[in-house]
Amino acid sequence: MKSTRIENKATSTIRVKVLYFAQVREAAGISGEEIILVKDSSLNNLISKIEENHPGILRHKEEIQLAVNRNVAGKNLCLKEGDQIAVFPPVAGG
Amino acid sequence: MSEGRRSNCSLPTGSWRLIVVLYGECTDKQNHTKRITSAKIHPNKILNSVKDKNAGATAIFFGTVRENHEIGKIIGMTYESYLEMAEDRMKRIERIISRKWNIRRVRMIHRVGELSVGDVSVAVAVSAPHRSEAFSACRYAIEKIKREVPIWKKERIVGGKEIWINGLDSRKYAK
Repeated sequence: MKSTRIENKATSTIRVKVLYFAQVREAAGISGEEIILVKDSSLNNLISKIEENHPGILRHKEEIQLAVNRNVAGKNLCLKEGDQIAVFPPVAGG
Repeated sequence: MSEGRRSNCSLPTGSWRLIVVLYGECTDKQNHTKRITSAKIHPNKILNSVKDKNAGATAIFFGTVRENHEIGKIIGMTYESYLEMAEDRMKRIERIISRKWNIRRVRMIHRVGELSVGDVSVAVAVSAPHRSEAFSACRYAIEKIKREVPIWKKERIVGGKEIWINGLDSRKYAK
C-alpha cells in the first residue's frame, strides 16, 4: 500500500529547470532554479507561479519572452519532465 | 523563431502544486564554443577564416563598444547570453544566408563578458563570388543577430551607473 502511494506521487509531478537572464535575472534575484509542477502543467501555469515567487518580474511582464528547450514557445505549451525554460527580456546583442 | 513541438495542455491555472528548489548559478562554458566567446575577437583571424579562392568579395562587419551615451560617458559594456540557444540561433542564421545568397564562407562571432570602449563585441564576415551577395548577406546576418540571438548588454557609465539596453529599441532599427 505504501509503495503504491509513493509510485503515484512520483508520476504525478514533473521537474523543470528555469533560467533567468538580464533584467529578469536581476528582478528574480537568482539565475536559475528547479521547479516541481503537477503533470500536464502548461507554460502559463509555470509563469504564474514564477511571478508569485518573484514579484519583481511583473515589471517586465509585457516584454518577457519564453523559450522551452531553446525554442521560443507559446504559453499554452504543455511542459514535460526535464524541460529547460528560459525567461528573458527582448534580445539586445550587437 | 519557431514555436515548440508539442500540443497545448488544458490544466487550468491554479490547479497545481509547486515546490521551488534553489538551483544555483547557471554557468556558461563560454570559451568552449565557436560563435559565442568571452575571448577577445581578432579581426585578422575573422578575415582569414572566410578566405576562399573562389571569392571575389569579402564583406566584414565589426560592432564595437562606443564611448558616448546621452546621459554620460561609457566606460564599458557587459554582455550576457543564453549560451546554448545563442549558439543554435547563430548556426541557424548561417544556414539561412547560405540558402538565400550565393556565398562561399561565413563567420559570425559574438563576445560576452565585460568589454571596454573600442573592443569588438560582434563580427560577421562573408565571402562570396561578387560584392552584392557579400554585402547583402553580411547586412542580413548582423540584423538577424541583433533581433534573434539571446544576448543582452548593459552599459557601465562613468560614476558607477549601469543601464540595460532595451532590446525593443534594436528591433525597431533592425526592420
